[in-house]
Amino acid sequence: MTALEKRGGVFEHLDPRTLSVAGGTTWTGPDFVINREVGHYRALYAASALECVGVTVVNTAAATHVSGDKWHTSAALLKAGLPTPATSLALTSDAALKALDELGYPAVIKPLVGSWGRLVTKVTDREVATAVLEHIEALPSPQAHIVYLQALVGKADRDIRVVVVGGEPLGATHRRGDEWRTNVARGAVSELCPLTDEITDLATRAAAAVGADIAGVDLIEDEEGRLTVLEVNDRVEFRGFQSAHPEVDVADRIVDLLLARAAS
Amino acid sequence: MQKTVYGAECPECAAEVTLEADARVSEIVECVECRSELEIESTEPPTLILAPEVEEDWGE
Repeated sequence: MTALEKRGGVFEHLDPRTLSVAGGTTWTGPDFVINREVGHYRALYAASALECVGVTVVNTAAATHVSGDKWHTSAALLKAGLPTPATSLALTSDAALKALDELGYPAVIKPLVGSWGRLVTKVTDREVATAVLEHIEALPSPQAHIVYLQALVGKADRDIRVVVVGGEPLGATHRRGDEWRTNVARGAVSELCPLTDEITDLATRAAAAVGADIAGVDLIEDEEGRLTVLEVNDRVEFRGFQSAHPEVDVADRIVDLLLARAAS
Repeated sequence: MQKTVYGAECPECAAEVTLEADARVSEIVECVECRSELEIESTEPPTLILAPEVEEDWGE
């Protein structure tokens, strides 16, 4: 918002907690919205509702729908021919146990929605998997019973975050933590990572695959150092990235994109 | 000259929380005394409330 002010942008804050949209009516609010809502479902439905009344939302509801759900993201990445860890989706816990036998251990069970590494569980063998899946079955939400499974790959303590704005990677950071989940929210530290041609290519294509104009693309190296795309975040938090890249003003680059879009 | 907002009271421990000059409504700040996450409800007068609890679909 400070970056927008510096550029003479006029804006207002739409608080999703007090937002309602009446479909089919004339919207008198802003024509253009950047979506920074932290909660996935509020972000998704806010974007959809606003688009319904003619508002341009960045990122689009379609992009939020895909990138906010790990299976939809994986499907989009696979469709785009991008390297991504072996992933399975099981519609019940019983199916998940069988899928894990095929995927092999160690593996990772992740909730379809949510981030900051919460509820992401490493399962080392069938006994652990059985216990985790019993807990999953006890969760109240029907969506929680659909099980996203992924092979555990790569270097245990770090991944690569690339911030992409308007199809252009701004830079990359290694996120290194004390545990295998490398979210800054869990205490991981962001360090500079060279933006190689390969990283640029994968990150640009991954953001395009989910349709996100503003994206935080997570890459991970396997044991042989080959890069794969782990996920794409559409409402990217960039505090850690900005600290590691003082030469890039992320907010300013986002404002560049927004002003260009608004003008067109 | 930028105005610095003082004197917002932490709703949890009543400590004084100093807000930055460009503090905005709905911004999240932390009380240095009790470490509570707080939301700026208003800048004039400066008013803080406890920030919403993290929900299971939060994240980037």
